[in-house]
Formats: sequence, structure tokens, C-alpha cells
Amino acid sequence: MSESQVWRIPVVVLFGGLVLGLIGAMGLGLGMGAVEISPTQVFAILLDHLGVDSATEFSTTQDAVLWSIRLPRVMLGIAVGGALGVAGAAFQGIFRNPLADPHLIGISSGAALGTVVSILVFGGVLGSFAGPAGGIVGGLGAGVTVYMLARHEGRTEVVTLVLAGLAVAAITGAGASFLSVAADDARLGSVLFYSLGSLAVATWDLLWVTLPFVAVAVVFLPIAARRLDLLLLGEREAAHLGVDVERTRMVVVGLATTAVGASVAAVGAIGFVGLLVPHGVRLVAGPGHRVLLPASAIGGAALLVLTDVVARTVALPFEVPIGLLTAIIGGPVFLLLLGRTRREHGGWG
Amino acid sequence: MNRARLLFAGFLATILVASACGSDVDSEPAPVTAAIATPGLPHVYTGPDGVSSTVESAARIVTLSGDFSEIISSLGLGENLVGVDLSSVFPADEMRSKPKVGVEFRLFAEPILALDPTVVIGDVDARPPEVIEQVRAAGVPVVIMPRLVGVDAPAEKIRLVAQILGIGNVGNSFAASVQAEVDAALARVADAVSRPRVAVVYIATQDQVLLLGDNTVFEGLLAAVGAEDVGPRAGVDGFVPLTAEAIVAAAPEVIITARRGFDDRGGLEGFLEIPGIAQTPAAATGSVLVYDDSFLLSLGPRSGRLLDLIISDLHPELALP
Amino acid sequence: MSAAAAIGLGYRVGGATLLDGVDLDVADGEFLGVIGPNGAGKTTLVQLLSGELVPTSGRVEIGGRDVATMSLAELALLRAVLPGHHVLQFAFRCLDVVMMGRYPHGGSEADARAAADRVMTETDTASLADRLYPTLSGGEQARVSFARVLAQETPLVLLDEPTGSLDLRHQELVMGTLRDLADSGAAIVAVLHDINLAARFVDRIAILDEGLVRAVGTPEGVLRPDVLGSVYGIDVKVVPHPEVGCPLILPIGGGRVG
Repeated sequence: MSESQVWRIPVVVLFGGLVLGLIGAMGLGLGMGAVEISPTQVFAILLDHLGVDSATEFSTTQDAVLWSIRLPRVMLGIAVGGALGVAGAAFQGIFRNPLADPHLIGISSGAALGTVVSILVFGGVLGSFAGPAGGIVGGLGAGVTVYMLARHEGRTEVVTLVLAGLAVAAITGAGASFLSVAADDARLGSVLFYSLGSLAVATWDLLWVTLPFVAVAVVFLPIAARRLDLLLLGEREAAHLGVDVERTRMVVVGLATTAVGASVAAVGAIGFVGLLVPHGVRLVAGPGHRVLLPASAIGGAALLVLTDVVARTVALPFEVPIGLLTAIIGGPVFLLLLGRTRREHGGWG
Repeated sequence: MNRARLLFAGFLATILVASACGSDVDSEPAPVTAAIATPGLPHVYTGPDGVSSTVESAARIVTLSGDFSEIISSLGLGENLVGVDLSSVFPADEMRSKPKVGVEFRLFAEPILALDPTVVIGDVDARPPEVIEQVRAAGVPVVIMPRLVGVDAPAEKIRLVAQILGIGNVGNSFAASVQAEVDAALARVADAVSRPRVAVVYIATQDQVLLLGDNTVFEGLLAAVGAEDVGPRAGVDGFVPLTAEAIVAAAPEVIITARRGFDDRGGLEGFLEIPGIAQTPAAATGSVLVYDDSFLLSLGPRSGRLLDLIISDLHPELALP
Repeated sequence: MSAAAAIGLGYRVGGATLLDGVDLDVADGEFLGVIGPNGAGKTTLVQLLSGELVPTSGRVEIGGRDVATMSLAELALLRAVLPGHHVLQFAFRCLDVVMMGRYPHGGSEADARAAADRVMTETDTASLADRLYPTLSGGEQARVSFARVLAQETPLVLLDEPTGSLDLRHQELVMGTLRDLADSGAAIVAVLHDINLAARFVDRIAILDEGLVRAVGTPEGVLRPDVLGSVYGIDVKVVPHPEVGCPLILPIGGGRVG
């Protein structure tokens, strides 16, 4: 087999592995933390909430920690990780650029600004949906701006995209920080203090206002998978094959931003998950979106839940912001990819 | 354990606490033996956040701010403190050995719950709200105290904390003695003839000068000790960073500051080199009063002594025969 | 009947006229070559015929219907387009790329696979099937893209320089494949640079210059020294091909600036 011929992992093995990984991450997420709960107690508590009695004893504190803190936290981690993974893959397809992470291209910061503004202005009217609604609108605003700035002859150049993202992130990030400090509103507590992202704020309520937006993206984005594949051929080629490019772009960016916006509103901006996971999946399974999108969703969920376990156990009684950990892993990978893109395209194309 | 048994245990515990004063609270796991009785429990408390919490037991207390740790220790319930935040440094020996739960403005739920508290006490600075919600969801009452300011605040705070922990009577007599100390100190001001312009500043990282004005623990205190607060003159409300020019414009004759930031600057010499402070009348005369952080910044049992000390330091004429 | 027709077709952009009053048609089973100097408007013509650009005057008909009234999905079943350059940078296997050509048909994976296998054999790209598209040479990429276009199986095929980056053997192969396709009933419009290659395979040639059609007709009819001389600005000699008899163009100098 020559070097350019490829080994591709069978799809069944890929999804099997990812699902096992996710289950493992969930197990760690539920089993680890400051309060000790043994695996059998974890099962007993879960069963108890399902109405099944078991012989294993557990305390009220253990019950409360597992059911009210860890379970919503793990579920929120799955939702947000899935959102970031699938959105990263979708953005990379639409921008035809493997470095288009929702965080790096300014969408997360735009979403953060939108969240803050929305909570302050519409918090009374929209209640707990003010956050996700503002996050989605802010993310869309930032995404469209970056896209207009970076697009050139039907594709986006790596450096222009990253620079435009940086500029938009700087402006919107500063706006969000300014408003948070100036307003000093308790409702902004989490947004303000978790600028690097944290799942520590997870509650069932937060999960329920976030999950629908993520679910919409995870369910409907794969429907556009074939069209995203064709878009990678080139916008002209896709149109020649019958793809309505503008419409596809609007739908995909809309869905992906919805997921990211709601996630940022819930737990803050977490970078690099949308870069790392789709990249990893492409390495073993190729760039086809029918596999890439769902695999990135599952992979993103597993990665975020796992990273969160590290974030909240490595420095007890403190938690490390999860965005810090993803940046530590993701930053070097980003630089590696950037360097490779530069070599392969003879410049910063 | 199933739900029904759990509920029964809770019911039993409530009855025991409510009826049999002095007997230990039968909550699980085994509580630290209460050093003193808490006859006022259960106590229903509604905080400024509008949330009502029922404190059933004071057997295992977690505090989110150092002033509460100090008050609880003074009330004789120090043994019951099972976790404190990082600002809890007094009494030093006692607090050093206590497990830490983090800092009040950035809390996490599990480290608090891991200590299996029966009550958590913080104030309106506790953040984020989601974590407080999580702890409450785990069935642990989280008491959020209002921000109390002024010369009556130390006693008021002691009274409130004691009441919440079921020892209202102990609290009332202790609060009265603290109030008496405060009043005695303030009475001396009547004889003072000087009225210096004073700035209370806190040096944060990177030479950032924070001025404590209204809406902080110092609200109303400077006027009470016979000083003029430069805060209003500098347009300051709250606990805010000050530019060098604003400090110069405020022109304090005396600066009061906390020990840690002062020492970090290398003492008086370094402190007086901070841009802005260097150009004040206080710097020209070297009039800087330094007190320990927890002594200066937490209103509580030691406030009477603090005020007495500040009054003596501000008004040298009172020391004359 | 006419498979595709340009009727009074014009395209202006930013004050420049790229194409003006072009009348041209191609019949089912006919192979039309489009030649002309750089900047003559050949690529613009392909883009207009494909429906990718909207004409500023005149119209394009495919199968007797105005392209402007047709949806992208309808068009994709009627005409395939091979663009002049290829931009895919993601690591798809060549087989995947060719299978993408089946998208308009919406058939099963197996149908797409069968069609792809067939055209890859026809175009001598079967050996590239498992290789990654971005790792291929320019010529190989062009051949795989050509296979993708054939996989679309449309009655009209538009190609912008299909032989541009190919070696001699593959030039012959691509032109031969197109010839066979025309003989089996498809209409082919190909922009070509190599006039001699065009002359041997196409039914008719259209010579484009400065946005105008200068001549249309059989190779023998239009490939005359006076026409080529004025269009390309060089002196040429036209002799019969010693083997197949079609015109053979031999430049004999006179290339001049201006």
C-alpha cells in the first residue's frame, strides 16, 4: 500500500469505539468527584430514581450529589461537547477550512456577548431562555461578520479567517466583559466568571434550556452531510451537481451556530473541541460528512465529559476551567495543523 | 436506602432537635458532637435572595466568608465548623486546620457537599448562583446573609448568625458586649478636635489601588471615627480601582490599608512609591495606618477594638492627658 | 434537435463586455470544440451555458427550455460541467469523489458505486480509486474530475480545458472518451487549447475572439490560415493530417505584440 493509499477504520468499529468511549467517560464522570460514591452506589442511586430498589446502601448526600450535580453535569457535558464537535465539523465544511473552530473564528465570543446583552435586556421577558436566545443571535452575528471578512473567491483563507475571528472575538469579548463588570448583575455570575468555560454551573434546568438547541443541530445537520461533501469539491462544482449552495450554507451555519450559541450561554466559551474532534475523526475515517458529523458529535461529547472529570478532580477543592484544559491540548494541535496547511499550500493560503 | 426510610430518618431528626434540647442531632453520617446546645433549631431564615432555608442542625457548618468563621468561632461553635473558605484566617490556629472549600466568589458544589454540611453560611457575594442552587438541590440549606454596614453591623451580624445556628440567646449577650465595645470606642470621638481626610485602600495585584467607600464594610465608619471620607470626593461608590490621578485629587491626609498588600510592596517605603499615593499629603507625612486584613476588613467580634485603635491612631490629641 | 443553444448571448461585468451576441448550438450526438486566444470569453461561455452565470442579454436553452427557469436539481440531471481547475483539499478517496457525480440521481450507494467503477475503468482511473485526491498530481486530479463528470451521465457535457494538464496518452484517452460519448448520443461542448487535438476529434469548431464568435463550422471549414492568423495574430500553415486527413495547423512565426 503506497503512502497516499489510506487505511480507513470501518465505520462500525469507529462508532462502536466512540460510544464505548462515551460510556466510559460517563462512568468516570458519575463516579469521580470530591464526594466518594462507589460504582455500585452509582447504579443503586440511578436505579432508585427509576423506582427500582437495590440492596446497596447510600446516603442522602451521595444521592443528591449524583442526581442533582453529577448527572446533570455529565448530561450537559454530553450536550455541549456534542454541540461543539458537530458544529466544528460543520463549520470546517462550510468554510472549506479544517481550522474553522467555532471558538477560533469568533463565534463563541459573539455568543458570549449576545448572552450577556440578552440576559440584561430580555432576562425579565424570556426568563432562562434569554441566555441561549442571545447566545444564538450573537453567535450568528459574529459568524456572518467573520465569514464576510474572510471569504475570498468562494473559499476562506486560513490566515484571513483566523485573523478576522481574532478581531471579532476581541471586540465581542471586550464588550461582554465590559457589560459584565459595568452591570454587576447576579444573573451574569456564571458568564462573567467562567469566561474559560466550566460545567460547574450544571443543573437540570440549565440542561433543559440547552439540550433542545443542541439536539436540533445534532439531528438535522447530518441531513446536509452529502451537500457538505459536495461543497468541499468547490462551490461551483456543488452547484453544478444541483446543490443550492447559499441555502445549504444558511441552514448549516444556522444549525451549527444554534448549538454553539446555546452551549456558550450555558457554560461559557470552550475552545478547540470543535477543532480536535473532527480532525481526529477525519484522520481515521476520512472527510465524508455522513460519518464525520455524527462521529464528531459523539467524540466531542466523550472528550468534554472526560476533560471535565480532569478539570474537577485535579486540583481539589478548586476546579480548573475546562476551557483551559482543552486549550492546553488543542493549542499545539492547532499550531501543527496551521504549519502543515502552510507547507501544503505553499504559503498562508 | 430507600426514600421512605430516608424520610422517616429526617422526620425523626426533626422531632429530636425540636423537642429534646441538648441531645445530639441524629443525622447521618455521625455528626461532630456539638460543643453547646442549639435550642433555637430548626430555624427558618429568609435571605436577601428571597430564598427561605430551614436550618435543622448546626452540627456541621461550612462558611463561605472569613467573618462568619470568626463569629462562629467566637460563639463557641468553632468545633462544628467542618469547612471554611480561604478568607477564613482568624483565629489562625483553628482555621489553619479546617478543610478549605475555595473562595466565595468562585464556588464549586462538590467540595462543599463532600464535607456533608448541615448548613452553609455565606453572604450576597457568594457566586455563582448555579452552585448555590446545586448545594440547595442536594438538600443542604444555604444561608445568604445581607451586606450589613455601619457601626451597628458587627453586633447585628453576630445576632443574625447566632439566631440562624439556634443559639440566639448566646448571640444576643455576645452581640451586646461587642456593641458596648464599639459604643465605648466611638464615645471617645466626642473629645477629638482633629478631623483628618482618610482613604481606606486595599492594594491588589500589580499596584492596583482599590478604594473602599460607601457600599463596603467601611460605609459610615469613617464619619463615626471622626474622619472625613475621601471616597465621595473621589466619586467612589463600592470597592473600586482608583487611577493614580484620582488618588492625588482625593488628597488623603491619612491612608488606612491592609497588611498583606502593604507587605507585598515591601513595607512603608515601597507603599509610598505607588504612583498616586506617592503624591498625597499622607505620603508626605508618612501617615499610613496598617492593620491585619481580617481585622480591618471583617466586621465582627473584633470591630470594637479595631475602631478604638483607629480612633487612637487618627486622633493623637486623645492620648494627651 | 439542438441539445443546447446560446441565443443572442451576452455577458457584461463592470463595464467590460466578456461575451456579446453569441449564437451557437450543439445537437445531440455532436461534439463541439470551442477555441480562441486567452481572454476570448471561452470560460465565460461555459459558465453561461451551464447556468452558473446569468446572462446580461440573450438566453441559454437546454433541451429547448430556458436555463434561467430551471432549478439547480433539474439542471444537474441535464448537464455536467468540468471546471478549468480543481479546488478540493480534503482527503477524500478518488472513488468517493467520482461517486459524488451520482448525487443528482439520488440512487443507492450501490448504484453510485457501480457507475463510478464503470467510468473509472473507461477513463483509466480505476488504479487511483483508493488514493487520496489531494495527494494526486494535477493531471491525475483532472482525470478523476473528468471521471466524476462522466459519472453524472447527463445528455449534455460542458468541459473547460479537459486536456490542459494531461500527458499525451491521457489527452488521447479523454478526447476518445468524449468522441465515444458523442457517438452514443450525448452533446459535448469542450473548450480546447490544442487546435490539432480538437481538429481530430470534434464535429464542429467555434472560434471565439474578444467575446464574439468569429467562425463556426467543421474543422476543415473554419481552420483556415486567414481566420487563425487574424484571431491568434500569428502566421500559420494548414496541411492535411498525413494519417487521418483532418487539418493540421503548423505555426510558422509572425508572433507579434499588439
